[in-house]
Amino acid sequence: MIQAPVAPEAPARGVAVHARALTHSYGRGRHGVAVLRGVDLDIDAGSHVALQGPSGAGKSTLLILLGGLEAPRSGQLSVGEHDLLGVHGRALAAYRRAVVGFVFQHFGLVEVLSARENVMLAMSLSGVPMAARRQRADQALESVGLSHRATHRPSHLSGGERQRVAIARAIVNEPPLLLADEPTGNLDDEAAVRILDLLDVLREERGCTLVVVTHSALVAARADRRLQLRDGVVAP
Amino acid sequence: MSWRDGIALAVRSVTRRPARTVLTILAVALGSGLLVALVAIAQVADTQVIGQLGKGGPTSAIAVLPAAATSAQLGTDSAQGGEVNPITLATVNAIQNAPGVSSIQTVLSQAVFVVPPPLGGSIPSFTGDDPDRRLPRPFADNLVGVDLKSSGQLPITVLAGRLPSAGSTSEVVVTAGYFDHLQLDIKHPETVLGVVIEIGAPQVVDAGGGVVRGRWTRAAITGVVAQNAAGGDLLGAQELASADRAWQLGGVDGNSIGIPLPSSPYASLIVIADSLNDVHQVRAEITTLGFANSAPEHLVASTQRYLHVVDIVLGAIGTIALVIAVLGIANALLAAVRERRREIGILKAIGARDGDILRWFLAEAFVVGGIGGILGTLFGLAAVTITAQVVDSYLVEQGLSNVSLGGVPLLTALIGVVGSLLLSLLAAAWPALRAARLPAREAVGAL
Ligand SMILES: Nc1ncnc2c1ncn2[C@@H]1O[C@H](COP(=O)(O)OP(=O)(O)O)[C@@H](O)[C@H]1O
Ligand SMILES: [Mg+2]
Repeated sequence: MIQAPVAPEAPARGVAVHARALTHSYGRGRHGVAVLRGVDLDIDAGSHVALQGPSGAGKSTLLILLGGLEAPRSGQLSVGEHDLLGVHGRALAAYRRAVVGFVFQHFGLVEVLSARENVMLAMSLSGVPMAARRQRADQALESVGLSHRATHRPSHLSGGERQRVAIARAIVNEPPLLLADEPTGNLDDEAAVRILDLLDVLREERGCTLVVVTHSALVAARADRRLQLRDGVVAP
Repeated sequence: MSWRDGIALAVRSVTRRPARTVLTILAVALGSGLLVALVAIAQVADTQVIGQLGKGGPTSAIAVLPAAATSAQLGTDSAQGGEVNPITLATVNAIQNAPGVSSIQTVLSQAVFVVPPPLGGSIPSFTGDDPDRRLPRPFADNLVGVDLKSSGQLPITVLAGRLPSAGSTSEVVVTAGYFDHLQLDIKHPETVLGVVIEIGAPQVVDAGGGVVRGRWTRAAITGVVAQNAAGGDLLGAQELASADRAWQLGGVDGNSIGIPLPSSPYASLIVIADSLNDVHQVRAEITTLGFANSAPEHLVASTQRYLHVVDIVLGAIGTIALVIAVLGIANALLAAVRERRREIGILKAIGARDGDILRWFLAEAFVVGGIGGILGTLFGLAAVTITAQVVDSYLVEQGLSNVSLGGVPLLTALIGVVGSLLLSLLAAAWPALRAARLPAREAVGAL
């Protein structure tokens, strides 16, 4: 039987991120919007970085590039041993499956699937054998404290619970890089604190690199490092 | 994501908009139901019409007559015969050995007197005895003798009652000609069923002196038939006809008084070819042997051509209905792609390939098209069954044989399901491609 990419008992080492003169724009020609204009960035393996900056500064765009949702236009970007410039299509999807766990502000759960099935969906995309999926999904739900909600659909869960399901889905494939775009943006303070505690615990347990985009000083305060993104560059 | 996972996800996804899904499935069911019904009806009608050309026997039957084939024989369906050419056992054996021949039925025809009731002492009541002509007249006709065990191989259609038991010498059936002789109404076949008649085979003892002896048998009429095996208004077991024939052959030729000895051992042969395609070859063989023969081969061929055109038209109408229905699937999927832009982005963000998204939407079309196709096929077959029952009761009322639905092959039933699936996948191709090409950044809900 094919084994999971990384065995749970051997925590994944996080990956380091290096970017040089990284640019990205949406659209082309006259209508093109240059969003990132030369980002230089170094993130240590296993560290916890908060990415701050005004709305529209390009924080989500940077996360999109780190997460392999799109290929950067120019510059250099490496995550672990993966060089992401010029990587597209299936290769980029393979990178997302192997390296990245993504957590969204709006949770991003599939409404018609239960909590457990949402977590199992990530494994079915990674080709985890059917027999192993359920047990691993239940482990992931247990690690976010939601074992008792496994059969509930997202619409029957609170915002904080939904985000914890989303986190379970993000970590179930043991990714070395965890990205979160305003993970507490839609939550009240109490739920937000639980999510942040959970992310801290998971990072420590697994040793993964954690990049969190946030507006909130409270959230940023938990990071090892805080980076400011302004006008498409990382402020010194 | 495997196909299995894709279908599992699709089954869940279609429950998101239940009303839309139900309507789409219903449209596909109606379309495929119409297609199945039309194709099945065409199929049944084809076998029915072609079957009618066999006049109760197999369509691949060839009637061989005791006459010399003329040069025109092979060009036409009907028999083209000249002078008498007796059909003997040797003829039967020669035809039996020809390629493409499946079986041969021999048919006897024996001249007889027929005396309807009232039966009794002095027969027959010739003109003068009964000036009012109120009593049924005795008449002279032919008794056709066949092997009743193989009645399915013979051009015989039972219109009322039943055939005589195999080998029975005390039962006969009659044709419409019998009703004509007795001025009875064929619309009331029950008036003759069960009636016992007397059948007399002649034996000419002295042609010059007009001395004729009869071999008299009583037989009950068990049914009314239409038959093309040989000329004759009575039909019975071969045993009965051959005993009568032996009796007549025991006398002398009475040609001068209208009772000649039979000229051919067999009145006709019914040769069954292996298939419709073999009929022409077998007829050529029989013609070469020198016998006039008939088979509806050209009629069958041209009828099949017309039926084929009808099949194509009906199939096309059904297909168009199904195409319109599956356009509903394309429409529903386009709406779904619009609604799920972010969800598609999220799946991509957590690692889905374009192919996974494509599979998800194709699987959805597969589920909707499959359910619609199965429902439609059941609905179509039910419609055909009900139609056949209605047609059946009408045909029976009209004194015609009934429709058999055994002719609907599994293939026709599968057309609805397979056609729905294929067309649904085709209709889903464009929406699914659109979904697959959405960028992963939709997940972040930028802007
Ligand atoms: N798909 C897109 N097409 C065009 N412009 C976009 C797109 N996504 C984002 N942008 C623009 O890029 C800029 C940065 O967006 P984003 O990275 O979402 O910023 P942030 O997350 O820091 O608020 C914004 O000005 C936004 O209008
Ligand atoms: Mg943003």
